[in-house]
Amino acid sequence: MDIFKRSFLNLLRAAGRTITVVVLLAVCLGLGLSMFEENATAASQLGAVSGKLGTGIIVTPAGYAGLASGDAILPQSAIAKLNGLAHVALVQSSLLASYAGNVNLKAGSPAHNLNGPAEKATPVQDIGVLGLDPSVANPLLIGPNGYMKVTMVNGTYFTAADANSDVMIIGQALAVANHLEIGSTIDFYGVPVQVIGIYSTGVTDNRIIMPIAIVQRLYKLPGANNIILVADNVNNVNTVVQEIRTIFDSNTADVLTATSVYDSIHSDLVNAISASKSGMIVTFTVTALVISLAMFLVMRQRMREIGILKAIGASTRRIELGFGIETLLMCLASAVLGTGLAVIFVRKGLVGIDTIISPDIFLVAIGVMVVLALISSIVPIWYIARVSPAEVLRNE
Amino acid sequence: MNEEPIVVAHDLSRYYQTREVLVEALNGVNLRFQKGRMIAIRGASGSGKTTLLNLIGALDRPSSGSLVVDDIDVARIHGRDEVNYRLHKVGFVFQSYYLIPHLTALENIILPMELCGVNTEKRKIRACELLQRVGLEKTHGSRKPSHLSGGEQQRVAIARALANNPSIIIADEPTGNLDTRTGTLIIDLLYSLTEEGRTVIVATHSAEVAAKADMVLEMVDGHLLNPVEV
Repeated sequence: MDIFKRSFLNLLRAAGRTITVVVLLAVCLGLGLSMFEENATAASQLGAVSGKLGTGIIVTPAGYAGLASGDAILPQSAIAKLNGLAHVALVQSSLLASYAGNVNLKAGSPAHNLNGPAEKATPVQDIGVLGLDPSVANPLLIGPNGYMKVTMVNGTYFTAADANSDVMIIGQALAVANHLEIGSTIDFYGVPVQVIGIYSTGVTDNRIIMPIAIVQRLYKLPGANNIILVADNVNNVNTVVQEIRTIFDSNTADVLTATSVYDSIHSDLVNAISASKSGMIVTFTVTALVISLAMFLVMRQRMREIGILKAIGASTRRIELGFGIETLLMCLASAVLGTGLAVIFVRKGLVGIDTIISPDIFLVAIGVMVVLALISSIVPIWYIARVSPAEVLRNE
Repeated sequence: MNEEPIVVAHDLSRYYQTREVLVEALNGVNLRFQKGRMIAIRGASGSGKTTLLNLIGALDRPSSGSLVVDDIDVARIHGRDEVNYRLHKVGFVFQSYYLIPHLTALENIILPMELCGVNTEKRKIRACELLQRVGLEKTHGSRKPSHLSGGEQQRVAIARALANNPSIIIADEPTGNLDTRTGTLIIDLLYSLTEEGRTVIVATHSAEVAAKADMVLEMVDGHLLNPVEV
């Protein structure tokens, strides 16, 4: 208790110096803590984003821009290799083309349903024809909100037996706008194709969907221009992408992942994590150096006192403990002040992203300062141990 | 007076290696000090007086030779034994007093007792007694060293040296920073400690101080001119 009281009084005696060191440490710690919180927030957000991004991978011909790209396709022989890739839960090839037949099809608005009015149809535009593998029971379509499931509102979806049949399912809005129903036929290059089902995705339902083999035959395009792969795990997406690249190089195909689609979000967060981690290391290192330097300067200033104490019988251990307690008390005071500063720095937006302050930030501050105090004490304590009272007092 | 020797040194030497030369601070010193005596070690600056005192007080370690103080082989003690020796066996008085400036006189006197773990109340009582013993008033106890005269500071230093009741008092030029009259008073105070059975070893270059001692040893260039036996 005596040594604790004496250490505390020593700090109070040199109030100006103590306050200066505490404030300096608190600023360093506050910066470090705010970066720590930023790091934690960014990592959490990245995890949340990654979870939402999903496992989808889209492969298209290089430079592909949808219907405007004409007849660009990826060859079927290469596509077949995708089915053998590891970590792939689903491969869905599709072939998108524009309707080319002798029927003036009108696109319908998404608001139409089977019971709604037909007079709201929009003027003639390109109607997309999508060839899908009929053996995939729940195909995915890509829309403005990401992947969409096809829901049958009338009729049936394809079965594997329909792979080479001249059948189709059509979007609900298209059906209404053109008075089409189950059993209706539409001409494609002189080939009548029958409607066996009407679907809805809630958004994009102006398309004609047929078995991919039919589209390939009708349009003489032996391949696909859009392949959706689903990885078995979000952590395997990059591995699958690398494997895809062994089949299609960058001159042949574009490979898009959900990560690259949301690239700006991802890169901002990754940058925030990286920057905050570096910042944290730097500020905590500076904090440790400040503690070491402060201790060392105090010790040099009190060298005579150390010599006297040793001369009158104080053990090295006791002197070291005294300085150690002084350091710890300063560090604890800095932890309190540093926590407050970290909250201010975060609230004032000094960190790069909207950072959430965790309730245990104070405990983190205490923990960090105790560890830094211990580490930073090593050199000064080693120095105290080597002080010779005879030499010190002779030089004084 | 007790005739038993309290300090025995045989062929005691201390060397310091500087960059260019080997400095012989002490060279082959032989001596015996009796208990309860005041011994003055006289010599010019650099003669080795302080080195000898530092060795006896275990503030330094000899390069060779033996040194036994009150049956303790001081040349070989270290660690806890060394600390206990300085706490209990010897008390130091320095030319520059070396009081802790931010402690009061009383707190300076209490310090060695605090290091020993003496009860708070007991050490306060003893400190007050020692203050009186060295001729100071109670009011001096609450003053910091900067508010005391040189003589008063040296008295406080002597009181501090006596805190743990050591058998040896080592005083290195205790009157060096004092005027003649005050210096005389201090030497008289130190001599009075021998009446309590303590051995007082004083390093000085003053003939007047040496004249008050029971025994005077002359040191020149690390050697004792008039060794040894009392």
